[in-house]
Amino acid sequence: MNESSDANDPISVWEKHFLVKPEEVAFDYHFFDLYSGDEKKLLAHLRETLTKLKRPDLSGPIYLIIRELLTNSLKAVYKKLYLEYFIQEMGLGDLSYEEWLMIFKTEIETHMADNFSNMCRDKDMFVECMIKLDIGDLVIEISNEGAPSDIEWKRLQESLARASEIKDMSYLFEEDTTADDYQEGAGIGVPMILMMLKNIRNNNLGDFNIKVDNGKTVARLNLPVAVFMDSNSENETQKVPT
Amino acid sequence: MDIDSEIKNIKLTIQPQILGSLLNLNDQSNTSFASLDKIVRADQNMSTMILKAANSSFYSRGNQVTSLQHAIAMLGFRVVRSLAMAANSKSLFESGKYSRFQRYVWKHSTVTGVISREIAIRLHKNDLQEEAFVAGLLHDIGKVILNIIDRRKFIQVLDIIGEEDIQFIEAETRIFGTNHMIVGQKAAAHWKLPETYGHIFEMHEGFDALPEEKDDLVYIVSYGNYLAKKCGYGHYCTKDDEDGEKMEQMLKLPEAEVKYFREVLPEKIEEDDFFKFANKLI
Repeated sequence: MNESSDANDPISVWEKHFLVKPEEVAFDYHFFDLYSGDEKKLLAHLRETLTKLKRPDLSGPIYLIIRELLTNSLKAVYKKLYLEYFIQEMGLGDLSYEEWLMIFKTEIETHMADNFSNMCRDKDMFVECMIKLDIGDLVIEISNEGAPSDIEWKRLQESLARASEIKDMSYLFEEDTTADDYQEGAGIGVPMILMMLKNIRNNNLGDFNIKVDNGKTVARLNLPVAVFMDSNSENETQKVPT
Repeated sequence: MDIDSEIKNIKLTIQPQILGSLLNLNDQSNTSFASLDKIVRADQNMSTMILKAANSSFYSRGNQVTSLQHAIAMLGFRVVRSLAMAANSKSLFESGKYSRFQRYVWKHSTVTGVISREIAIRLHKNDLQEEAFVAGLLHDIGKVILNIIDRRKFIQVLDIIGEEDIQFIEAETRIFGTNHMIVGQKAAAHWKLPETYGHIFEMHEGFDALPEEKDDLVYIVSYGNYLAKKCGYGHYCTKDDEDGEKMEQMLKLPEAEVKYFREVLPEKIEEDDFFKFANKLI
């Protein structure tokens, strides 16, 4: 196989340079919570995959990104369940988003998400984390059933737009992001993800997006093969069979 | 009147004093749990809301919750408090804040709860104590709902019972075209409260004949309802005596017990700790 055939059949890049077949690294996990042990399995699987792709050093940053996206996605699923099976059943459907979010947060803090985890299992509602080698990219997808509410979608888009303009860590110290009543965490998850991606991809933000597709909310992250090739150019390329 | 859609949209108001006491509790102390339990019991709507929450699909996951203690433990202190605050912020008006309503509904319900618990204890049905109290407290929730739906009409009902020797259900049917027992039963079904509570809301007075065999709790609360009225807590009319006698038969009460309930118990109500506590708040 020569370089031109690589271009026509980009998947073979993975086999040619890393001796890895796409099906060997593909995995798919379903999460109902973040403490059932699956998270550790995912980390081990991710580390194994990135080791095969000669970039074990990326395990930490990519795991952190996945975890942040999983957390956000699980929160979206939990909110949907709480709204449907509690707030609306209680006849409180006309509470404002802010008001019912307060009860939601209290429930999470009180029971450490146990009730949500059980309910997700009962209703078979989960967050799916899929990693696969696609045409020229390592693709990571975190998805959950259902679309965000209008207010959540608007806030997410604003957050992505703001975060895409960041240059360095100083952005995080520009304002107090925790003062927002709608916020459930520190409010810097998306900026952190984008900053790490910029570093991983050598300042090329590349393809990271969150879309609503076929009734699912999907966060998709593509890491081009170049991310893995560049790093190996000095010490690994010579070992790759041609 | 479309009762089903009215119930769907109903907002139960928690009395400001109750909400104030609730917000003043410190959620870090163990004694607060007991205080919370006491406060919840002092308000019919608060108790309904807590039971309704514990029996929602999210919290119950198919298991019926009949006791307030269990419901509070299941929800947790802070969820109870957040829920009370949120529910109250959406109340359009404090529909039950007038003296006749407090006397004929709130106070009557509190005393029915206290007496029903006492009946369960005297009949050695200790396992029913808690449910007897809760069901007694909530048995007239239909009146609360009718009052929220149309307070003006409910005042007409109160006017009628003040002038005529008839039971609430008769006056309500005249004014609303339905009565609090039917409304209460529909609400219990809509809110997924345990079935027994639905039976009690539906059937606690106005018996034309001996009621068909239900469970003991129905008779205990119906008898508690009668005794509360007989003791002067609530609206009493001549027909209530027929109900009382029927319940004494259904409960197979020995003569000594009948004597105790009719003569000794009324003297003890005002000494009851919970009665004193609730009385201060209402």
